[in-house]
Amino acid sequence: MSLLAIETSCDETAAAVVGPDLSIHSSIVASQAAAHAAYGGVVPELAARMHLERIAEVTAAALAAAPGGWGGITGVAVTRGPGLAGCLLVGTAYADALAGARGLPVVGVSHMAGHVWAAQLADPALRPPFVALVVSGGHTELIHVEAPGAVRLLGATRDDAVGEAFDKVARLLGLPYPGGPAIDVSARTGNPARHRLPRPILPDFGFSFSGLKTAVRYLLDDLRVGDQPLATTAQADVAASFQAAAVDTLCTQLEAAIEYTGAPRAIIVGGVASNRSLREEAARRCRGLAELTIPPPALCTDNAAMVGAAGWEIVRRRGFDDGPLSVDPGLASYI
Amino acid sequence: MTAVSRTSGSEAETLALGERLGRCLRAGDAVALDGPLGAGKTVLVRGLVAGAGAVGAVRSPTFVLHAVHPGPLPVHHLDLYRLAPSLDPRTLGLDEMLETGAALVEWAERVGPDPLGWFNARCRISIVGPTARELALTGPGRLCAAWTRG
Repeated sequence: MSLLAIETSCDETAAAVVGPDLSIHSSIVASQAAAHAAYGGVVPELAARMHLERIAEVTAAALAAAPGGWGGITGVAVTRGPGLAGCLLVGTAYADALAGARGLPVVGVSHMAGHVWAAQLADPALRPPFVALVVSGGHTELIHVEAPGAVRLLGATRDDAVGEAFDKVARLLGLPYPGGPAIDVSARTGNPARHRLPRPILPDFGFSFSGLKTAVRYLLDDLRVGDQPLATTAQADVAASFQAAAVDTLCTQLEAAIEYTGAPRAIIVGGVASNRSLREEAARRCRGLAELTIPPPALCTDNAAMVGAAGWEIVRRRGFDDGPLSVDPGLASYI
Repeated sequence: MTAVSRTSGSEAETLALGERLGRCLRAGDAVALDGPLGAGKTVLVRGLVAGAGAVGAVRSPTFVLHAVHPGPLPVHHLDLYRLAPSLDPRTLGLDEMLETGAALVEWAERVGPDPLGWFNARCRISIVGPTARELALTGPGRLCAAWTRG
């Protein structure tokens, strides 16, 4: 019997069916990115409305692709935060209504816990204790999952999240949005040692990417002649040098956290974990230190299968929730 | 409306200016913060939040869009960078926030010239050197006074 999982916290409408052994029977993601791009940015009301328009068909598609359809579902898991309030409400109201009509229990899930437990979809043998580096547009955090339900925050960014730094540097370089993948691609042809950029290592496993972003800005001021755009090779060198500094900083703090906790395993999750350079460098540096799991890119970016994985973790630990779910746009929990 | 300009030679000085201004904030104040990438808008907010006596780590809200710092005066930190230009800030719940708290809005210039007067103060930060910044504040005399003394 599987969990039907629903995710609507940001600009992806997603549904998935995940079995108790964490096999993904189906996972459907409908992105709103193109719709928001047409407006030049995110429109929160549009995001909520588009979730409402698509959630039924996305959920139906996920059920249709899973063996047994509704007959194989034992409960509904849904993201209740963090995210945009209007968007979260669409998902939780829909999940509550479906569960009520079918007589099924529901479980509310933190989107951040979803990112963490996505690693268990990639490696079902993953069990605490482990260190998790959570890297996305809005988060850069190191946590220690000591035991089921026992999560300690080791450190976090003091200013910008790393994914935000990728996006803002991409904009400075004139690369398209989303900036993360654009820098990843541009950096492949660049020389990462061409420019030496800051790699701040803060105490208490802290991160700071604001200074790196500002350093790139000044570097570009020096490199540019007048209003001429940068040549492609020069652009690639800056992208590669920035990426090297960001990745080096993340890996240094991850190594320190593994050594500090003595955790035998580590995971890297969240949208930025799909960055190829981070995946390669972290794998190299964790060798002999800890067993490292990085989910495939489709499980790093927002999806509903990860909500199913986190849902199972909660259900096993403390069961389903009672009554209708409340949303929490500022939810900061990993459990 | 009054105006005052200050120069800051370092992040610490920007932080201190923010703290002085933060002590003068009241419920209903909506401060627009403008300036290019790396100008130090988030640093100023860190000072403002501390000065207002609100708590919680101040991070860039570019992706989360809205963060709230509880305190005697709740301080809301918003960022319009990722939002569509010309967006009505009320769609983010600005009116409700201002009933009991103050709002600090980064990348406020993205809503345009603010003909409807969502903001009652505006601070524009210009980069004038590697660490030097000019901070130009316009707003009620009560707020500008924070920077004219001393």
